[in-house]
Amino acid sequence: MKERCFAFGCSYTSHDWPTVADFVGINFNQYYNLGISGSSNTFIVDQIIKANDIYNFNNTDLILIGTTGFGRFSIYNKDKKEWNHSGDIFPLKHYHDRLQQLWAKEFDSVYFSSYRSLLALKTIKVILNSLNVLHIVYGAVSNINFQYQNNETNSLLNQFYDLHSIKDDIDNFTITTMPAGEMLGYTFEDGTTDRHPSIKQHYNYFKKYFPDFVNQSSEKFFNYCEQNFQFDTLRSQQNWYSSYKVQLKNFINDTKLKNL
Amino acid sequence: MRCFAFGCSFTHWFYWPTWADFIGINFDEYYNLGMPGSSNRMVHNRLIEANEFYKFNKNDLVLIGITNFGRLNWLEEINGDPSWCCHGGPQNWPSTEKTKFLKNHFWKQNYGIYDTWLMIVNSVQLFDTLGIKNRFVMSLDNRHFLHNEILDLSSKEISMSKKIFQHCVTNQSLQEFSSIEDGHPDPIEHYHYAEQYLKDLITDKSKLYLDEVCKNIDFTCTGEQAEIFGRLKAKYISPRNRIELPLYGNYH
Repeated sequence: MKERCFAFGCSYTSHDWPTVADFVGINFNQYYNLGISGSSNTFIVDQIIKANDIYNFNNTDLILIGTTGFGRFSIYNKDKKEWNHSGDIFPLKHYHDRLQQLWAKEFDSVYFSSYRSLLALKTIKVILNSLNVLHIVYGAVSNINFQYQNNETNSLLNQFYDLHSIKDDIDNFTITTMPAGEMLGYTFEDGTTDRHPSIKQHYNYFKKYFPDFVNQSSEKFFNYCEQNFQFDTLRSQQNWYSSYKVQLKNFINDTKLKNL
Repeated sequence: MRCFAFGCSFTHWFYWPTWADFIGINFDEYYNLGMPGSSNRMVHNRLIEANEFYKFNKNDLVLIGITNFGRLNWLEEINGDPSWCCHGGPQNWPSTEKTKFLKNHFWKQNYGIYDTWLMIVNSVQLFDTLGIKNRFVMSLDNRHFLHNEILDLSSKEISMSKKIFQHCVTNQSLQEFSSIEDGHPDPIEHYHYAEQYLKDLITDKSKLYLDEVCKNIDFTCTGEQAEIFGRLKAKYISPRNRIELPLYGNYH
């Protein structure tokens, strides 16, 4: 078994309950979940470059990369000293804020955003292949919207998924395997919803595509998190999972990558 | 033996040879993949693409001209075709709604330092792990990123800038060698820079090339000069260097 596992991605990698990456990571002595909600694929590669500079990836590590939506961008807010990550802006919806609307209309395009994602993934592959580091690239967020654009964008999309170890993304897998009547994510008792895949939905993807890591530890972890899920509010669940991860000594809480 | 060059117009210029060309002509194969107006991220992205296409190996030399940290490139559609917008930094951007938006909401010089640092760190790591010989040159004068007297920079940003400079053969930029108003060195200045800081890569053939350029080119940026240079280039450099990278098409 490899010693360290690093996971990169968006909220499908690091969330308020266990994700696919966490079910893999639980098997390692040191597990770093460096996913950040809303991340773009460009931000993910930048995180990997920074992480490599700090942790010096080597051939005893496993790196997990959950790729995300093409229509995202990440920008550093110097005044607030924090990164702003947008969700997907293609197609643009009424709920996108002013800056997201401006970005999509004034600067970005479907083609440019597809290009950025492809280049990001190419860079990730070059880094990890040159270091001879075992890595698994899997689709987290679906980019099916981009399939209906034009031939040029489709070509970038195809090249992007050709670089994946697992082409089926969590979104698509969940939607196509969900029993009738089941919803994505959770509705909490206070009426709020979170439509990220549920623990079980993550676990099902994990069982299908990461069979080498399915064992007593991952099963025990899954059962414990399911049984202790805090249905009252999302905040309660966030607090519960954060404190539970502190108890899991192999889940390393890394803060080095948070700032520029 | 192959040589690859990446950078902006200080590496790939239309009207006369650059520092990289005086080195590159000494190799069996020479690919100048610089692109005028490139940002450092663009330079890095072309490096990644070139590696995929040409499969760099231990016998190769890669030359990189680091451009101004504050540059940004983007893709836009021109007559239905994607085209790279390569105007360099904000001071050179055309005044459009798009660039106004970028200046007001997104682009910060400080972010440019971070962006450049990431790209250099990754390039160095790639060269080290693949055992590729390389030289970094500071093409444009970025010394104002080394202190906060002109720009409002944090100590971390200054530290990143210093690390970028550490990878270069010298802190002195090519731009400082230039006597031309637009900041581009003329071929003699390019040659002198290479002779001073990359001496081991300069040969009699490099000097011969310079002499022939000086005899034929008058250092003005005209179409006629570009044509004359094109003919000279063909004599010294294999046409293979004109292969385009898969993801890169037009630019303006």
